[in-house]
Amino acid sequence: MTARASDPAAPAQVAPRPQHPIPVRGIAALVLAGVALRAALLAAALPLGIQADEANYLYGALALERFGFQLDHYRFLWPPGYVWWLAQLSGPDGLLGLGGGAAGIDAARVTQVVASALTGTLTSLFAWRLFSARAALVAGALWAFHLPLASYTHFLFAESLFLPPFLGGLWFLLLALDRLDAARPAGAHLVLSGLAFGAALHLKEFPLFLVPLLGLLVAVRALRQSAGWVEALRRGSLVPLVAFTTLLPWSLRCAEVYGQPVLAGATLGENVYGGLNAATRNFDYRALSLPRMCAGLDTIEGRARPLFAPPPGDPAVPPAWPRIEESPHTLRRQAQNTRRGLAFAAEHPGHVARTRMQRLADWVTPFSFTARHLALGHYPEESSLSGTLRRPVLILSSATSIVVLLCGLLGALLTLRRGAGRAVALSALAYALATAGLVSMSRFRIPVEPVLIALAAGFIAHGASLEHVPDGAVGPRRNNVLRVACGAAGALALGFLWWVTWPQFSGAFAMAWRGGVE
Amino acid sequence: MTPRTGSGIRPWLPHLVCALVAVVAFAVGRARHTTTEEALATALDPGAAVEDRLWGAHLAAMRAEARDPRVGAGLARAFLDSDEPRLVEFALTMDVVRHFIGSAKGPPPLQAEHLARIRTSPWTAHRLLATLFFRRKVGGGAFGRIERLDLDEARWALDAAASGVAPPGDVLDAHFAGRAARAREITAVLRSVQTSRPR
Repeated sequence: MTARASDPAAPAQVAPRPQHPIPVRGIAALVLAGVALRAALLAAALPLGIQADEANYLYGALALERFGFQLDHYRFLWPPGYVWWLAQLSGPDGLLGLGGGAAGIDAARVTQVVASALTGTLTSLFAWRLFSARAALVAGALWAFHLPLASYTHFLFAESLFLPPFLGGLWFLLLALDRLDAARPAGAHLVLSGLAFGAALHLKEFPLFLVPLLGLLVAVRALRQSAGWVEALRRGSLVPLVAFTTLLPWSLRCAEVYGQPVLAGATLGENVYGGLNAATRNFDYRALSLPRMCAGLDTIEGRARPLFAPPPGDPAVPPAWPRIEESPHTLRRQAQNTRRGLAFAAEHPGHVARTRMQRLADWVTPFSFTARHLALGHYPEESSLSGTLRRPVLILSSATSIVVLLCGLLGALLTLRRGAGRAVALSALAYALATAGLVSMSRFRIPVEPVLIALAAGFIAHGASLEHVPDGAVGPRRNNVLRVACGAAGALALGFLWWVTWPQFSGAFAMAWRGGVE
Repeated sequence: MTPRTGSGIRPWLPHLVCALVAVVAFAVGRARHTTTEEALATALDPGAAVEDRLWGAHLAAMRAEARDPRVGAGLARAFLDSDEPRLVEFALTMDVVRHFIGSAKGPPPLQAEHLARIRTSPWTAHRLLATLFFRRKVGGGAFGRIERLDLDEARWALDAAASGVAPPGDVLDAHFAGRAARAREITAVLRSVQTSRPR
């Protein structure tokens, strides 16, 4: 039985399942268009140099290929999935005829383009489930042309392979909650959600704490449905239990190597070093510093508003704490660095508090790694991405970021209705935003950008209207006034954060506009 | 409205399967555990298989909570003197190098000496991999690193590891000379910025 919004006896949190059909053909066409655009971008970008963590991933793949096991990077330990995938494609024979040796690098980029089809499909499905068929088509179009997301398919970062299982985990969780709301068993969906999150955790540590939080969400909803404590425990524990069980082989391998298990990866200490310290580090702009300094120019990071990121040498900046380098044990060093960072935060709460504003602003910046590549002049000289397409790509990537962020926020505050969909989407968003309180840059927004796109699509398709929106009960009019006030306040807050990051964004944008420091 | 969940043990079946998998995994892990002393002995045993020696060295190097001279000096020297290319290359990675950190100024001496020694020999896949494993790791000069891998190096290295073939020597000489010059230029810029920055 499905509870209906118009049924006065239905509890407010009960969400009816969407009544509208999935626009399969429309979604398929948009996904194909998005994949074609990504393939074209890849073709235009090659041969594309590698940057920072891309080099470290390849170093790890080379070591795995040469020695037969993964090395850590001394300062951090990444989850094993992406390095393993690169090593499979770069082995002597490649994988299923794809790659082999150096060809494995571009083969990895091709697999990422192919995998993006799943991301596009799931993004549209989220918009369909949260809003309507019309929103699903808007989401598909936004996803297809949102270049900051598209560009990751030709970067050597784990994001493009991480997104399909991560979104799959959220999707199966949403289906499970729908089934539970409709008094139907959902064990298989919860298991599938756990398996998908487990796969995602092999690629990126990002959902490590989100998975138990979502388990808690399932348990709380079970209690609100009067399912009882035992049943709440059973349902709530299943997703994290399955996800962490899939991690067991890697965790136990790490226990053998380090003497203690590792869930997914160990990067917290290094992030604390960057996040709870005197200076503000943002890798959107840090990579731009070197060419600028070589040209005798100021750094983009140095342009930050002093109120939120005081420059080095400012009397308000407390002394920085150094990384622990003495211990050879990666995990112990991580733990010690975390303790140092927390001690720093306790000692300088004012500095830490005001620099958090900069972190939040860095998370919602319309800048992106696409623009960063353009600013570095990183695409090949003969590529259209360095020539005629550079400025259109820059404008489109910044514009779609602004649309996705602003409309995504308004979609969350104005259009999204109460129910399982809102609980899942806002949990993921709030969690991602919380992680940005430690360290931040545009790349850390990527895991939840499909969710933001779905929310933005809801707002674009329906505005703040209550019609066409299936999820949950329609509130009285005063509730609408409150929602509009929340939307206005949210938009103002976002505008304020864009003002905070404007000096860096405008400087980096100008550099990308010129295609380098020239 | 409470969903139908069935009764008895069946709704808990996925939990039980996970618990069973965990028990089996822990049992396997425990049965296959190698002590640090065993790992080090295997790593230093010239008669052991190369894969076992590498894994033993990895365990001994990563478990140590303080710098261990048995890894930093003993094992590094044994591997660098070996005829097996992969052992030599492994001694140049961060696994072994981390046991030198803080013990001396500059890059780890045994590894730096080894690279200086092979610099006069013709370029081979092994020399290329040894150079890249040492010079392109994460970390600073104290670890022996100079810059990260670039695309050409990554391609050459993956081909060298897959097929044992290195690019022509003159190509590599010109490439590494160019990167060294670029690294010197960057170092000079960073130094000048640091000295001009208000303290």
